[in-house]
Amino acid sequence: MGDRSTFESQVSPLLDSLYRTALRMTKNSDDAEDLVQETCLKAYRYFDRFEEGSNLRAWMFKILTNLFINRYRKKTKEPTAVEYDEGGDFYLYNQMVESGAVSENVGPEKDLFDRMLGADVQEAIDELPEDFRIVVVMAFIEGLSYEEIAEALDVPMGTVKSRLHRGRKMLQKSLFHYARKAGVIPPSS
Amino acid sequence: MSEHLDALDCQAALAKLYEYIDGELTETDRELVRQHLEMCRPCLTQYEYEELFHEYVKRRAPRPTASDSFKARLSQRLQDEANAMTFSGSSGRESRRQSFPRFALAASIMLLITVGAWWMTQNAGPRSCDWTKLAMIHEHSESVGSPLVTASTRSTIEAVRMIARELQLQSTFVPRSVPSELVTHEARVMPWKRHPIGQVGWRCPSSGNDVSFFISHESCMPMTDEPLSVIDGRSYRMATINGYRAICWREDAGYVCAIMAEQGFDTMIAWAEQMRDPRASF
Ligand SMILES: [Zn+2]
Repeated sequence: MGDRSTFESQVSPLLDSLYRTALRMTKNSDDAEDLVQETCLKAYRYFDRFEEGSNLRAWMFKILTNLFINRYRKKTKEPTAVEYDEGGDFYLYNQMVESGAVSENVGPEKDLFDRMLGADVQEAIDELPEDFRIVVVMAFIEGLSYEEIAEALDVPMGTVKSRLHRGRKMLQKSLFHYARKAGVIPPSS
Repeated sequence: MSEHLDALDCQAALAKLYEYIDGELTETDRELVRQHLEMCRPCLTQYEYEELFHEYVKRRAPRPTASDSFKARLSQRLQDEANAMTFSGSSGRESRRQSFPRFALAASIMLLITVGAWWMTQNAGPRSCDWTKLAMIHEHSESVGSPLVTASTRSTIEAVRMIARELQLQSTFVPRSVPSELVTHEARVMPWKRHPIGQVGWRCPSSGNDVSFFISHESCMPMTDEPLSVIDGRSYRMATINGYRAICWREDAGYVCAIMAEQGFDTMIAWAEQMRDPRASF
């Protein structure tokens, strides 16, 4: 059972992380602030149901996600049954090998992606379909473990893995296309 | 490719590559992948690309932080909430409202008690129910996920029967048919003290909106306004449940159904008429 007098001190280290995730969910700073505020108030009210010693971060992200789904997602009209074209495994690597930009047996230089893609990563993340975007943000940007994400989204670990896997591929594909449009990567022959 | 006993082949190693990068493998698996990468140049190259991509995304994604003014505001809100909770001795939900609505709320609770008292003389056993708490429970159940029953694949009728059983209702509203615009997506029973409420949810795929109807006691769903519409002597009234506008009506058994009126009241009433079947019983 969580002790309310310590709520604020326990939650404040998580605020930036919650805010960033909310921002990528709502794509709007006012909505993100509202969402985080509502999350904190709700968590505060129900803090006596939080099991001391269990994972507070996952619990907070769970409340955030559910509020987002129940409040904000209704406003947007996202297609639900679309087959997303995500490209194959190791999309970027394979495309780069194919386009002759890299050699199969030579490791990449450190600044390769900055040089070649350079593109706006945030824009590419924002374009991901919501389910994948949320998982990618939680894992890549906020560093949540698969287990924490599974708890936050209330889905099995396998779902987290596969969404993250597909999210990676989609991200690689869209960044690759930016780069190709910008002419950094030559068009395939 | 390595020929060691137990060693992974390329396919197995690559299948674990993302988990390796994300630090999600067990120690044994991590070691096996590491060994493979040490011996297999093509896989190592692939790994290096993926790892570098991972780093690139982490580095290039902006990391905005919540503003100090927001943090200060939030801290103030939490403080207010703490005071309100001390003041009301309970949830503090109603205390968060301004003082005028609190009066209004007190008045409606008084009204509710009066209605509830009248109701108890008409029907054996119903318990009075504070709708603000109900709404909070509903919201809480949605946000931290504590439904007793979730039945996303069940048909509507089946879901309603299940909920009625769960609530041990003698008789209640059973949808005769569900408008073709709606797809049943969940049915659940949520507890509130000793007073459970049931909810069947539908989704309207064309708009993405959710609509719900509740099986509950009337005092949980007070009807606040003049009738919006009267059909065959049945009054559809408006209620506001935790900020959502809903339509409510009374069934023979005294249970009240409410549907979230995000679609506009006319549509909701038309749907309700299409669904209701007062003759059905369990
Ligand atoms: Zn290999």
